[in-house]
Amino acid sequence: MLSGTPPSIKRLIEELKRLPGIGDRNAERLAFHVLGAPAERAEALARALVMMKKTVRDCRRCYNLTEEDLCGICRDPNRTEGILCIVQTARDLLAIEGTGQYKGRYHVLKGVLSPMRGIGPEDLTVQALLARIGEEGIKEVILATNLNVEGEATASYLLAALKPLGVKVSRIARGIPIGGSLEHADAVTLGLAIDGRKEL
Amino acid sequence: MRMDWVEPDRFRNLHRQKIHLHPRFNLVYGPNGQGKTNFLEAVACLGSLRSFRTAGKNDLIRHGEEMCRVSGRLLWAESERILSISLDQRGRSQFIDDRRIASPEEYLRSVGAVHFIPEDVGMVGGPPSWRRRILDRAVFETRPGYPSEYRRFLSALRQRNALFRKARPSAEEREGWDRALAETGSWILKRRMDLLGTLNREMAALGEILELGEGLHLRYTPSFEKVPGGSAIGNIPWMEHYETTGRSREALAEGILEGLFREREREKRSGHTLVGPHRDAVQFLLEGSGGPVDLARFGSQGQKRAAVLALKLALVREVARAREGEWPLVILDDVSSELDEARKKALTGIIREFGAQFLLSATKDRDLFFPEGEGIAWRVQAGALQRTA
Ligand SMILES: [Zn+2]
Repeated sequence: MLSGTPPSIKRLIEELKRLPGIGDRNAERLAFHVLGAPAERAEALARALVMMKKTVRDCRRCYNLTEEDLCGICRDPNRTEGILCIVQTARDLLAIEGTGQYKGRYHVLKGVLSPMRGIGPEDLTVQALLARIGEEGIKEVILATNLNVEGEATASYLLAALKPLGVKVSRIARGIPIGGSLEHADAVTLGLAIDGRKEL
Repeated sequence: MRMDWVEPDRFRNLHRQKIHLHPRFNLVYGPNGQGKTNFLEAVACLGSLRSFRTAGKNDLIRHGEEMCRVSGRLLWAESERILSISLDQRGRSQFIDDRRIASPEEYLRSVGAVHFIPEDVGMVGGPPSWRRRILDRAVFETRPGYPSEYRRFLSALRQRNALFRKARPSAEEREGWDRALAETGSWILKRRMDLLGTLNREMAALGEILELGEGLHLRYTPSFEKVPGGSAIGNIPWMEHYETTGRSREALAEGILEGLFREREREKRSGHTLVGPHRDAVQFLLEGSGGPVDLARFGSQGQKRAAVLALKLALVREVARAREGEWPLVILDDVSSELDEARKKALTGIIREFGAQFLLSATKDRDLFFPEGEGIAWRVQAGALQRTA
């Protein structure tokens, strides 16, 4: 970047570059776009960013994203009781919601096992999940972690951890390519994967 | 598949020459050190992206030059492609029809296969990883999905090894990674064993023709079936012959799981995964009258050489079968000088039955012969190929 660029622009560019998929050129383009826009647009953007960080938090029960104590799904009385779908991230939850095939509630793990990155069960929301099984009278659990190695290992781990609790455990299967991630699967495929889940 | 022409450029000592190859037999001959193996190497690099010699790129580029290149035209029944590879200080680039192909995997998939024979005879008695690699390469060539299956296994293996560094993982967490290793590993085992099912029949037939006697085969022993306390190779009494082919993938996964369970204590001490396809044993065996004979321990140099030759030729046939009759290009470097007269004659018989295109080297032009009109011979001198027949 030109050394003549004012420091405040440089700072914005540096911040933008931390975002996924944003390289040097894109960061510069965005920064100069904001610079050229009316002041209230820039302020609205800044406020939206700050507000989101301030108000969005994890649902107390399922760790989905929410601005309340409990998320919309946990509060929804029309959801089927007694069944939980376990996902890695809130984004995967959204992907499954997008299929319209699933009417139960969720539990967001907030990650997957990865010893190489030092992530074990204690770094995920597993304790809360195990507590929910008894508290909410859960009868069936669907493991919807990704179908890559880490997702599979996490599913196997959960199966072992859930077994003593006597719940029915199944794993999404059909349609998702081996190694595939839920985020990139289309709604129809994902819907089939939930329908075609296999009991473990 | 065959190569129509090939043109080395600043490659070792070779002259820049467009060499038009015969669809069947191509022989380069001449005294050592003149460049006949360099020519074979150029073709191998173009077709397989690796040299069969241990060579850095600086060895391949002619002294005093910045880069080198090899180009050639491949012909199939209904299509053709111009291939080219170039090497410089930054590394290697490969092109198909002038389009740069970033992924070596993609290049190799579209190119087909080149088989170099023989690999070092040390393969028979060397570390088992050599023999596993040969199998894996052959599976790679016959199953497009294998590289990703293999990467999945490696990823499970690395993760599981990392778990040993954790102070007190729960039994459930260990089980999660045991299963990940068993699942991904069982696919590798299954693929290798499926290959061996047909490969061993082929090897036995070729072994007989190459005067090795009866029953040449590769015995695959999964690490979970090793004799407790025994070392991986050469230490398994012949009575411990396990029938491993034709087993279901699920049974293999179960075997790995049980093996991991049994080795738990030893693994804890070593901090490594001791059971899985990365620890399996592969042996060259002959079915002698007194039971199987391990060639690594009891084979003569000549027998070992013939066994490697039989394996490689069997792989060629296997690849041709998997690709619906599309033979790979086969390169034989100075094979005949290592074989006695009877085996040399047998080899000539075998390769004449193969439908493949052959590129052969020999010290003398009559070492390996082919019928009039079925091939071309070049004399190689100081890097130049001179057609003589
Ligand atoms: Zn919730």
